[in-house]
Amino acid sequence: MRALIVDDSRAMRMILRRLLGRIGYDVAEAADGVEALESLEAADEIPAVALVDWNMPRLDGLELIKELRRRPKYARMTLMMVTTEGEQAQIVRALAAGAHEYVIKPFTSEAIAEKLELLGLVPAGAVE
Amino acid sequence: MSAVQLPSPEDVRLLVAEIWSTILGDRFEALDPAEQPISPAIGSTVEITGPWTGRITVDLDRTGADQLARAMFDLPAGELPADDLADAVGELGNIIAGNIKSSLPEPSSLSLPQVRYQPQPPFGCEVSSALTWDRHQVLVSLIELPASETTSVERVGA
Repeated sequence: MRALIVDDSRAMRMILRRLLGRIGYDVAEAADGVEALESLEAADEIPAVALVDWNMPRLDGLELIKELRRRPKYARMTLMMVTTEGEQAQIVRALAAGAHEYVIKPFTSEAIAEKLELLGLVPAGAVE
Repeated sequence: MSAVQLPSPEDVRLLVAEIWSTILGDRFEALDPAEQPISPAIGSTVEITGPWTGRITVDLDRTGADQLARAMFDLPAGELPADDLADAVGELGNIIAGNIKSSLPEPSSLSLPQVRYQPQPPFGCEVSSALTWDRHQVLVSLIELPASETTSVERVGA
């Protein structure tokens, strides 16, 4: 399965890449929403899941999710917001815009893996 | 002085300790007040705009920042690219500021982090917490600003 990580911090992308790699994902990265859209349009396969930060330059995570939900070809892609933004109103906005899950940084590997498992996005036996 | 109830220095210590433990698996301890804080080598600034408008700074000594960046990038000992160091410190500041923001009245907005080298000791802070781990130190400060003084800051090295 493929995953896309969208975060302007390379360190955070590295942490998420290690985590998803252990689960068995083939991972692509983008540093902001604009790069994510370009990467998706150029890809030959739509990722099963995108982990999206909120605060990013150029196009933030909320606007990226809205844009992806406007494009029918990405309708089946699961969107998980992974952000420091923890206000209730923001969580509601992200879910209303089309995010399936919301994870607040810092997170544990187990928390992300469990969310993916609940979404049916972890191959059997990948998480102990 | 703001009428907004800010987290106490102990609240900030506990929050940073939890974040640190999650990222690095290390434990923080409150800095002994008798111990002289060292001069920070690198720090990040994130601005919050809302019912409380201000700046959250996170300053570290060089060795501690190196350790943080190596853990986040999973790098062995050796030369560390300056961009990686700045990125890791910026992301730490982003996570700490975001979690502090969650304890403030809503709605508030968060700027992107700005990374600073040789940061000056923060002046006029409302809350300041110093923590130590493995001989390294971290100083987290909340500084209130008039709304007109906030700036649009951008991340360095990300």
